[in-house]
Amino acid sequence: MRRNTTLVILVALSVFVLVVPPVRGAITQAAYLVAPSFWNVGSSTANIWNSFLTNFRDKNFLVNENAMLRGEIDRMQAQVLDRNLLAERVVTLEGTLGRAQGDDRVTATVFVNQNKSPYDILVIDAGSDNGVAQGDDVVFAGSGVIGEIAEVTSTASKVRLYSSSGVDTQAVVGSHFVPIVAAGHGMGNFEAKVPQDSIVAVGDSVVTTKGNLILGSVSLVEEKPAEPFKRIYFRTPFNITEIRSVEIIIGSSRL
Amino acid sequence: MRKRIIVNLVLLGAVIYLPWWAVMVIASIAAFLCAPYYEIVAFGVLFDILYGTNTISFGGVIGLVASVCIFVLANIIGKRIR
Repeated sequence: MRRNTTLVILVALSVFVLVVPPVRGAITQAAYLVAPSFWNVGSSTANIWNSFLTNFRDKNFLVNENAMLRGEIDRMQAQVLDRNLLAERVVTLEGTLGRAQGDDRVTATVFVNQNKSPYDILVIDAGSDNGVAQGDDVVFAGSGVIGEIAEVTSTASKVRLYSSSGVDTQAVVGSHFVPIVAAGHGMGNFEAKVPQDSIVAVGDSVVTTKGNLILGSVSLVEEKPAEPFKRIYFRTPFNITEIRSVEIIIGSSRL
Repeated sequence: MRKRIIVNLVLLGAVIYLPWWAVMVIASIAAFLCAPYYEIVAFGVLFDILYGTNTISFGGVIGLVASVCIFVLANIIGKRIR
């Protein structure tokens, strides 16, 4: 009986802490004054340990190098998509040059990737002290958008991934800019529906309506004659689990 | 008492450094080792504070719910075993 009472009091207190936003915010701020130091120590320790091991284990060194090169390829693929998009823009929007392109960006290191928690979020080392605000877009490799800032503390932020299950994002697909709602399926994968007569092909870029940022490229178009729409499946052009640094577009929440 | 402190430190380290499934495993073992392990609720809250937000799925209380479930299950199973 006493055990149950203690548990009920503890749970009630915890629910109060987690559900009342100002209380949760204050405790999050306090926790994030300390936690980044631990993550930095963990990251440094892991790096030192890895460097130490590579002296003795050639195989592991090659595996690490391979992983690093794969990450670099992902980054370059995203950049190529970016360039393709720019080329398309030049053709289709010829004559409308002069539109302001400059945006203010902050680079941040990823403390915690989405494998760490069931919430499918990233924790990054830039916060309100760096000008980051809730709703700002988070991009990788220039214009590959991955999500938006969900919560900000003074020194760190949490990024909600657009590919998280249950998250819907407005976007356009292909050279005909077919509007879609991209439903996140986790791990950088998305699904969307377009009308049956839409012209969408594998390899088409999917771009967010907010900010014209690349969300992914179409990898599969599923068409059933009985259905009035086509299903398109696409994914981010890089492995989202291997992201180590991102950029935050400051002020994009106000767009 | 000493065992409890060590278990708490291990679980704290797990929450900070290990993936969520490993935290679940360690928390379950801790709940059996130190029953009744009330601290698990605090670790659940810490997990939600560090990695969740109330703007995403389940209002950011997965850690709390999981910790209470582990606590209750550990007590029920513990009683049956002893």
